[in-house]
Amino acid sequence: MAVTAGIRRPSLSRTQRRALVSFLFVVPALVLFLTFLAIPLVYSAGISLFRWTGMSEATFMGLDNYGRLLTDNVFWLSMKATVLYALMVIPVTTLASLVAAIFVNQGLRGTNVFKSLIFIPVITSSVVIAVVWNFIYQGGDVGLLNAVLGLVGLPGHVWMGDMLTALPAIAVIGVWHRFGWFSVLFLAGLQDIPIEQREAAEIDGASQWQVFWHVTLPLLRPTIALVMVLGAIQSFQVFDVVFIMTEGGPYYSTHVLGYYIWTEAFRGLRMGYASAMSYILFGSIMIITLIQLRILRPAT
Amino acid sequence: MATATEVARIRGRSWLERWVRFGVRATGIYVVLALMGITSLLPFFWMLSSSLKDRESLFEYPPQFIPAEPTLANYTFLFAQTNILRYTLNTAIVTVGVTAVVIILGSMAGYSFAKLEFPGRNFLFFGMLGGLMVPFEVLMIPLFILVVRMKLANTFPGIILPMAAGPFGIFVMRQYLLSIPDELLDAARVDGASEFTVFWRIVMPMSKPAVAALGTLIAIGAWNMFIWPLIVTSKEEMRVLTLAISILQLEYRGLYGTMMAAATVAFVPALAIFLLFQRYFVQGIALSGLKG
Repeated sequence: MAVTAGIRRPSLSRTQRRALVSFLFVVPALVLFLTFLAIPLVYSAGISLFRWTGMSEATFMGLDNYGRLLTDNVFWLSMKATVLYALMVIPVTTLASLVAAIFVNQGLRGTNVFKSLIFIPVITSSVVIAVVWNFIYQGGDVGLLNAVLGLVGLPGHVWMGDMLTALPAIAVIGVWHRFGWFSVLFLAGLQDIPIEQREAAEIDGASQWQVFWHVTLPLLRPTIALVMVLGAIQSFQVFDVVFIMTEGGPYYSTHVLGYYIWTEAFRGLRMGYASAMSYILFGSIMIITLIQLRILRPAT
Repeated sequence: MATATEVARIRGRSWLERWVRFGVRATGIYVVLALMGITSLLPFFWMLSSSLKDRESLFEYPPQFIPAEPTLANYTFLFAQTNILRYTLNTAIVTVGVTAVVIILGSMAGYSFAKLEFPGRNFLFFGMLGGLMVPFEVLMIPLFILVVRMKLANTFPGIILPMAAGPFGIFVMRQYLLSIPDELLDAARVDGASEFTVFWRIVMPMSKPAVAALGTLIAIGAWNMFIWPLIVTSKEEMRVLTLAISILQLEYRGLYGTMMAAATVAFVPALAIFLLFQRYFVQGIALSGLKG
């Protein structure tokens, strides 16, 4: 043990020995972090400067991989699909989870059961979700959605085969999958609001709606910011559902950035190009996070 | 601001009016919540119900929500024709492995960052915390090359270790341990306990709620993870359930009953973990929101 080694060496003072022991507690986690996170992060930046299949000789390209992205039509289609997906998922998820949290928070009997129910999608694998929704969205009378529409006299649709409906259909899954998670965050935020603040407004004669709009909502601002940032991070990384359900089609309408990076790297073996794209994704997430935090920062 | 008449209007409501208003509001709330609850559950109900149907009733119109003649044929077929038991075992091994590594290393490092001193401690902590921001897409290519070079592709350590390297566990444990009073630890130190004894005998037993919350969160994530096993596994016998289902989906295209049975097999254990540890899970989610 390092502790006994420290005792035998008189050159180490008591404080130094304590510092050494303290540091030793961090070492296992640090080794794992450096090997599988920090070093890969730097390595990836390096790879993005090369043309490389992962096996053969790598050719140095400078910033050419990044330059090529600008003229790559598929990259822009992927960017478009990703941004559209995020624009559909983030507002709807935020709103749905806020409504769910407010209603659960009314303290009515039995509402905790709903809290558990809306949480079940959150704990489910996106692969399971994709397989099940794929079945629900099937064309003809096979899919549940078309069957239910048929029962109320509406025409069915080939949801995943139409480039206008494929991405919204996937966005619906995204909202359905995550809103239970965000409503837990909103519930925590709501429970942090001192009850006196609302009561004071109510005594002043404010209606329920006024109390919500002028008291509750401003105090929820940090939670709204958090939920929208987490929503953006998740939306920009959507992969599993696209991989299982559409493989990017039809006509690249669901070809999101995460899927393009994966296919370039592991089907096309263009490791350099894919790495450059992953850094663009990283940068986009950072920029969007900063913008969101700026817009939603608490008014001072 | 309220005028006197408005106040009078609210105060002046009869008990009957107030009671009716409350009833209407409560009904509205219940209806919305029930709709959300049903929407959340319906796909799972449909998955289970379809997995118990034979091929004819699967495509019957109008659809049967409860199978008229439930059959286990899809499950028998699944267990006979595929290695689904092996995939389930693999998933369990990966889940236990990732959870154990995150909890043990996270508690040790979290303890040091919260309660011990060494030069550069805070710098190191915030440096590692920055790792939370890195999307997996940036790491997956070098990780794949690294793990192949380390001859860890298609092995459990190769699947587990990269998934357990993130700083989330350290962060959660540190936040929790900051709330433990120093006096308690100092008392043990005065009695001559080594730092390791303090950690193992005092800190760990006190951390049970945090360990439960963190463990539940990590276990569910590990059970469900897909993209890393997809990248690092090429051998059939090393597949986890999510990967196996994504491949079965291609092989059994159109065999919806079998696919729904496979989805149910992957879903039920995650549901069981959630139902058993629900309380801790919700705490963990609140922690993941970077709340105190």
